[in-house]
Amino acid sequence: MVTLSPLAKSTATFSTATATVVTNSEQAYTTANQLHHDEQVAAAIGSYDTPGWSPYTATTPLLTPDQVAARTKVLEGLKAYADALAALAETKNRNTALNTAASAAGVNLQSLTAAGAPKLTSVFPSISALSETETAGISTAIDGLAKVLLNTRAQRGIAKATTDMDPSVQALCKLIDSDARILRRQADVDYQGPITNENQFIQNNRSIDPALRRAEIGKLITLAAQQKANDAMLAQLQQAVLALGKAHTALMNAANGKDPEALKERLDDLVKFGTDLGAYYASVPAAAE
Amino acid sequence: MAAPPIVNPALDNPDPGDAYQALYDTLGDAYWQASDITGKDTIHGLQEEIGKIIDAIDQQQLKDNTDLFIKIGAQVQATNSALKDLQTSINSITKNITTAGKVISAITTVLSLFP
Repeated sequence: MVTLSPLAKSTATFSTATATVVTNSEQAYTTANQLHHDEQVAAAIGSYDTPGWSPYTATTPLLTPDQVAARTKVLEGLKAYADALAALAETKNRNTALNTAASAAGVNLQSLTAAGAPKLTSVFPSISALSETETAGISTAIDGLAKVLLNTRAQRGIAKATTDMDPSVQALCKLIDSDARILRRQADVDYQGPITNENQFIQNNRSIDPALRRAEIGKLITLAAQQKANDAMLAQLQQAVLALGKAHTALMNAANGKDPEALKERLDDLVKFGTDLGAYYASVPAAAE
Repeated sequence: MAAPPIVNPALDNPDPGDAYQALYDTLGDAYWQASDITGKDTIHGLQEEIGKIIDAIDQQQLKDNTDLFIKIGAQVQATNSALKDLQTSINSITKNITTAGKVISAITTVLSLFP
C-alpha cells in the first residue's frame, strides 16, 4: 500500500514553519512602513524653521497599500499552498472516514442480501445472505482499495504540485529576501535620520532643562537599540526565507522519491530559523514604538 | 509542466542603493566623530540628502518587486486551485462509498416492505 505517513509529518511541519515565515514577513512590511512614517515626522519636526513648512505636507509611504496588498496576497497564497499540501498528505482523518464509509457499505450489503436473498434465489440460485465474516471481508476490501486509490492520488498530487510550484517558491523566496535587504537598508536611514535629528536638537538646545536633556539623550540610546534589534530581525527573516526555499526543494524531491533523508535536515533548519524569528518578534518591541 | 522561474535580473546585479548606503553610514560615523556643532550640522545636511536618494532607490526597487509578486501570485493561485480540485476529487471518493452504502440501505428498506 502507498503510505503517506512520513510525507504527512513533513508537510505538516513545512506548513507550520511556512505560516511563521509568512506572518513575520507581513509584520516586517507593516513595521517598515510605520518606521518610515515616523522618520518623516521626525524630519519634519527638525525642519520646522524651513520656509514653506506646513503640518499638512503629506508623508510618503515606503510601500503603498496596493504594494503591501500584492505581497500579502502572495504570502497568504503560499500559506494556503502549504496548508493544502498538509491536508492532502494527512491520512488519519481520511482513513477514519473511509473505515466508517466502508464498514457502513459492508453492513448495508449484508442487510440487502439478507432481505433480498429469498426473492432473488429464484433468479440467481447461488445468491445467499452474506455472513458477518463475508461482510467484514467486503468492508476491508473496500477500505483497502479506497486507501490505495486515495493515497496514490494524493502522493502523485503532492509530487506534481511541489514540482510545479518549486520555481515559483524559489522566485518568491528570492523576492522576499530582496525586499528584506531593501527594508534593512531603508531602516538604516529611517533610524539614523531621527537619531541624528534628535541629537541635533540636543546639541542646538544646550540650555534646556537638565532632566529633559537627560530624557532626550536616553531616547537616542533607545532608538539605537531598536535599530539593532530591527536589523537582526530582518536578517533572521532572510535566513528563514532561505531555509524555506531549500526545505521546499527537499520536500519536492522526497515527494518524487528522491533523497528523503535530506528533507528532515532541511525541515529542521526551517523550523529552527522560523522559531528564532518568531521569538525575535515576540521579544522585541515594535521598532516604531 | 513546471512554470518558468520569475527572476528580476536586477536582483543579481550590484545595487547602487548599497553604494549610497555605504556613503550614508560613513557620513553617520563622521557625524558622531565631529567635535563641533558646525561640523555636525554640515554632515547631517549631507546625510539627509543621501538619505533621500536611498529613499528613492528603495521605493523604486520595492515597486519593481511588486510587479514580480503579482506575477508569482498568479502561479501560486493556479497551483492552489489544482490542489483544491484534487482534494475535492479525493473527498468525493469517500463520499461515493458512503453514497453507495446509502443506496444499498435504501434498496434493503424497499425490499423489506415486500416480503
